[in-house]
Amino acid sequence: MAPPILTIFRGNFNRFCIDSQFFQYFIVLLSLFNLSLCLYEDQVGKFDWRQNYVGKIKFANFDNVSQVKKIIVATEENVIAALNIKTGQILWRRVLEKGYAGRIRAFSNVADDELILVNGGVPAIVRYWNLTTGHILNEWPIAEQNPDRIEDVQWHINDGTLYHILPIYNSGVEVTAYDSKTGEKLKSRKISAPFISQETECVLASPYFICLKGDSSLAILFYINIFEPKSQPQSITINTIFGAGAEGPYRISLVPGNIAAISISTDNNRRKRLLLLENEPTPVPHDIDGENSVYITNFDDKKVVLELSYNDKITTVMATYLNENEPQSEKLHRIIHNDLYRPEIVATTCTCKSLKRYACKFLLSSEDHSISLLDKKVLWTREEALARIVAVEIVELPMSDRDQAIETEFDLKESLDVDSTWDVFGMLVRRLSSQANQVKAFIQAALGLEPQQSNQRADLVRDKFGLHKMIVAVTSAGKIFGIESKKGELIWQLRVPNIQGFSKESDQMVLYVQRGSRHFPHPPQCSLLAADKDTGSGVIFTFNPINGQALDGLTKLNYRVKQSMLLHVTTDSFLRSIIILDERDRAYVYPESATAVATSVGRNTYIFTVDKASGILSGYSFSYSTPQNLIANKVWELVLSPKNQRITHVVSKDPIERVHSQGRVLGDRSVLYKYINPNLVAIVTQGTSSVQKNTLNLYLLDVVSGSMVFSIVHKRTKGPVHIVHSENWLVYSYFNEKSRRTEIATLELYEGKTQSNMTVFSSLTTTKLPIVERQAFIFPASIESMRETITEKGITSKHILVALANGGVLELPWMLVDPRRSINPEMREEGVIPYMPELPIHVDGIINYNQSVFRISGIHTSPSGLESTCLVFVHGLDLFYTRVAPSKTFDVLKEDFDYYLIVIVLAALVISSYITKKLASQKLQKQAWK
Amino acid sequence: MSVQKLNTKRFKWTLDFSYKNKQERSIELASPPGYTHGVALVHSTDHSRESHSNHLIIKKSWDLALGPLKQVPMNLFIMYMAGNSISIFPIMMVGMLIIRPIKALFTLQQTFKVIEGTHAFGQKFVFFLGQIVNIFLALYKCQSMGLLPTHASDWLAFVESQTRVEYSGGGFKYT
Amino acid sequence: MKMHTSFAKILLVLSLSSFISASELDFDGWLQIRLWHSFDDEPTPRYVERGKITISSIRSGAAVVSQPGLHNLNIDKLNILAKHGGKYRLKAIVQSSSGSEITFLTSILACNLLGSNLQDTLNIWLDSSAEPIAVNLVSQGPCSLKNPTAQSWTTDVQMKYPDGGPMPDTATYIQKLEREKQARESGENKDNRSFFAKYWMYVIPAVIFVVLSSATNPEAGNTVGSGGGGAQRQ
Repeated sequence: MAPPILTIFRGNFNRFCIDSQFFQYFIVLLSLFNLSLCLYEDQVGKFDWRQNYVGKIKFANFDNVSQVKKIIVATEENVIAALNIKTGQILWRRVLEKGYAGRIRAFSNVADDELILVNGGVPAIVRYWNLTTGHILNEWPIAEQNPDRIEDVQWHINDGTLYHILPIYNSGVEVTAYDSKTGEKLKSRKISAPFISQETECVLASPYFICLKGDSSLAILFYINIFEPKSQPQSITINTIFGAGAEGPYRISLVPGNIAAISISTDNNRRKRLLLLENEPTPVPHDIDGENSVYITNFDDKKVVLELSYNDKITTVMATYLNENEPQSEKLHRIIHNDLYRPEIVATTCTCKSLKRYACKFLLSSEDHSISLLDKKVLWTREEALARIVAVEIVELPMSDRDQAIETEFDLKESLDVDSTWDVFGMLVRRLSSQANQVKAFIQAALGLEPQQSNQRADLVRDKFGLHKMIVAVTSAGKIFGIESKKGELIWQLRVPNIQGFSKESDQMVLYVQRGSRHFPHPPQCSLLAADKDTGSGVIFTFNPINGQALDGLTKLNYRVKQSMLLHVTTDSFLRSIIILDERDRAYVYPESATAVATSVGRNTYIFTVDKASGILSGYSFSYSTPQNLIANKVWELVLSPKNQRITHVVSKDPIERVHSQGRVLGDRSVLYKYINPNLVAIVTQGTSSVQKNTLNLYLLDVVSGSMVFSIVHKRTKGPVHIVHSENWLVYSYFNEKSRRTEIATLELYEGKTQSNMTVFSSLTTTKLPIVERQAFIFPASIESMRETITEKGITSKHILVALANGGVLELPWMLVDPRRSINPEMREEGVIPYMPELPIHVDGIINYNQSVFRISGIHTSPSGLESTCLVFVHGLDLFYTRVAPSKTFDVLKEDFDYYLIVIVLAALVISSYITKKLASQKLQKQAWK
Repeated sequence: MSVQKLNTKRFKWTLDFSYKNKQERSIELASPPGYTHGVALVHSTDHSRESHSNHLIIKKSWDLALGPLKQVPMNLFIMYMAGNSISIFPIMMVGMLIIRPIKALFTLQQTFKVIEGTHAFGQKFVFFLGQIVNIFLALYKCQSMGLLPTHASDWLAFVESQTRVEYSGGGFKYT
Repeated sequence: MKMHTSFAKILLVLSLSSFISASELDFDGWLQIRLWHSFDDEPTPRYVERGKITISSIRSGAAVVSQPGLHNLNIDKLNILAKHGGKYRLKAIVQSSSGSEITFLTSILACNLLGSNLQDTLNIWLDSSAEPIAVNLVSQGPCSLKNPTAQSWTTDVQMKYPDGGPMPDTATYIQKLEREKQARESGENKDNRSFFAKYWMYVIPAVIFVVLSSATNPEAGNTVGSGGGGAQRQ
């Protein structure tokens, strides 16, 4: 009787609780609590690492003046930094404005612990730095008179005076002097130099301004001392420098160093000669190989030309003393070092050890952007190419040798003829022998006797949860790196000679993982698709992503690559081939042996191209392929006319993405099915016509059928646009000009309450347009890059990683940008947070806590072996790697899980239940006897 | 039945504190002094055991058969009180509401083993009907609580993702 | 059986778009579309003229479609194309009121066209400045290889315009906050009813239940316990 009444009352109470809305709030509160992700203090650096870079050196100087000797560098990435002279570590680093506005144009000599730097364009900003701390002491802008001639302006800093030197065609040179510390305009002067025209090639080698006119043997060098008020233009013929027999075209360039000199190259850059410009131009009658780099400096009172030659990994430093009547050459160093690759001297410092003996340090900048310090031997090297990564893949590590042995066992089984040896006894023998081998290996390992069987490192094997991976990063310098993901160690590096990005402005190269490491004994294979530096036609370089060994080497294609894609099917050796479309729309398969596989699926394979210049989007089908030839034929074409709009982004979904849930449960328990079209591509355009200047258009296009699915326009907005396209939704950010703030808009696509086809999705038969939900939010920060998390099965909820301009990487739950977040509480669905116009930035959601990363160019996400965990690699000027668990680590036990306690408790319970059973039966027996 | 037999053997006013076996203890607590379960039965057997026994069996068995139906209003009341929210107590209640009639149906033969006579089939049928009504009530409750997988959303987790027919790739022209 | 349908059979379809968000479209203009199609089962097809569509007003979406019927020869070609799983290709040359002439290419599975009995929809997508950006031919299907009964096209023309982008809804949110604030203030005043007045619906059933259960207490063993368990005990 009693229990039902009790439960009724409790139920009643429960209902009472629920009716008073307490529960709803509780759910909201709980979900918010759940969203807050953070790291404990002892977890700092446990799952993540960061590496800082400065970029390719533009200017450098040894700072011997201040107490701590260091190297000051200014780089192509608009960074100024101080490097430790002994280790190469960054002492301090200042990241200037991005792109054009921060370009470093002039760099003064180090004096009194201070440095003057000119950067930017219109207006140029002069900054005056304290070198010990890296703080700005003063900064002032230069109002540019001729903004369109900014690229021709030369700068010279001398003794605290900044000279702004502007050549004026057919007239002269305008020299304006400023006090570099205060910005005060000292004087302005115009020097007549009518030889300057658009055809002349000019350099400033202070105090002279030198121009080269003509390219035949009659070429003449004009020069003028611009600091002398009454100087007259003078000239010198090329023949006086080279003597007779030299042939054009000639090129002149400034020789780096602390003595004014220029080098003139001739015979198609096969040889060059120097022209010293200290008091009077004096040619140096000494031929230098055109490939060699030169640096001019003085050892004490002697002028020395340092000449660096690189030949097959051997770097030689030659010194030529100029003071003697006959230039004498002396070999200073001969280094064989892997890190050096066609280096150039960017700075030197010498100390006098004893009479006539000098100890010099050379700062070398290699062609692959690495920086090395040479002091008899290479002291340290910084791989600055990593500051500009253009393509990343995260590759799984191979299995350990022992696992591979097991794998081979099963492999053999497959290859054997089934009916002849498929007997139980044979299997048993094989099993026993393989296990005996394993025991043997184990004992050997335990005794430390195991011979090194393979050349791979023992720790570079797949772990239980697939968290340890290899990051393959391709840099714009054409250098490929293999970075181990646990600590960020560079495992291997590969220089691919003579390649460049497809286009000058984007450095684009394409990296494909053709075969993962799951197909033992086939080695994993990656291939890099890029352009040849000389011809511009395509090249393919294949390599093993685990050890960095070239597989097929460099394959030169004799055509320019227009587009490429990775085929979804594999050959018999588990290799996914690459389909390449050339400029004349012919299709190729790489490797060629996979053509048959590619053509067999040609009917269902499509490729599309987007031409930025003409605005034409074309789709190609391979349905007319013959078994020998892959033939592309155009099936659709549409035009986003450049008159009205400029295409800025084309974003497709991650091809490895999987969507677990096919729909969304509504409040009335019906299902709203997601529109998951794997061929859907988002195209973002920016208005160009005067009326449409500040509009942003987004189109969703099915690239198989060529049919437009949706289009949306945002007025009074502008870029930069960052866009994430995944599952059935899009998240994109833009700048709202009207309200002057960054906004994030989201779109979500649904098929409706019924699914048109439950089993397959075909773009060609799905004609119904999806329902599009949309919402916009205010984002209180500036965004550099965005990317969604990805997990193996897509069960885990998605988060969006947002790289902020302040150096943080925010993990923003997709739930917060859900377009179905309704402001109306009646329309709200279960688990949907009520709408708030502003997205909060929780400090707990910054995944890189205080490890700020700057100038983020991309975020790469990769699934791990754990469904809950996603690996994140952020690259830009800095590298940052971590892992995130958007739905918390639901599939692993907590770190502090007490295994002993649970074992002890279980054991105690089992034992006590046996004991009590015994005791109870004894007691019963006793009672029965009573 | 066994309890009643034991009780009739005992003296009317004795109170036995020492239990002989644990079976007895587990079934019921000791009755208060002066109270015996079968007091009505004892009276009736005293007076007209022979004549009324048949009638009583029939009456008793009809009671038994109608039991589930009598329970219906009570169950309705419990259901009303439990509310439609899903939490541990309403769930337990609904679980009980379902499991009890099902259990009873499985032990139908055992329950009616002792009952013979002309009404046996009818009684069984009524008992069965009553339990079925109870099950339906419980199912109705489940339905109103949303526990029955009758909506498409309940099967959403089992919906396989669509396999793609066409594959595509591409993007900006490289050059 | 008609031997030839080469005479021009003018078909007029006046289609009014279902929804026009004219607010996003600042301009009105006209479009003239010439359609060329191909039944060739080859990578580089030969196009022949199919018809002409005139849209006199972009905003209203009224379209005049004039297409001659389909020759039997072409229907046979379409059948062959469908049998091979090929695509029917359509080239649309669009002339707009702004003076531009743009060529679009679109294609659909030939069997879908047969299945829908030569019924198709031409979606013309415009951008925010009312310039055509895409012409898509859509046919509902289903995929079939049967000869179509119709011998002429039934073409529906639909204009599609870009939607206006969403804006952060700050106004409604502030209103909501204010409403909530008001509700809270008024809620404080309202909630001074007595406990009984507020929760009588919970109290009375409880009381009734207690009364009922005490009244039926002597029989309680019977009513509650006469389920399966109770019966077994007897």
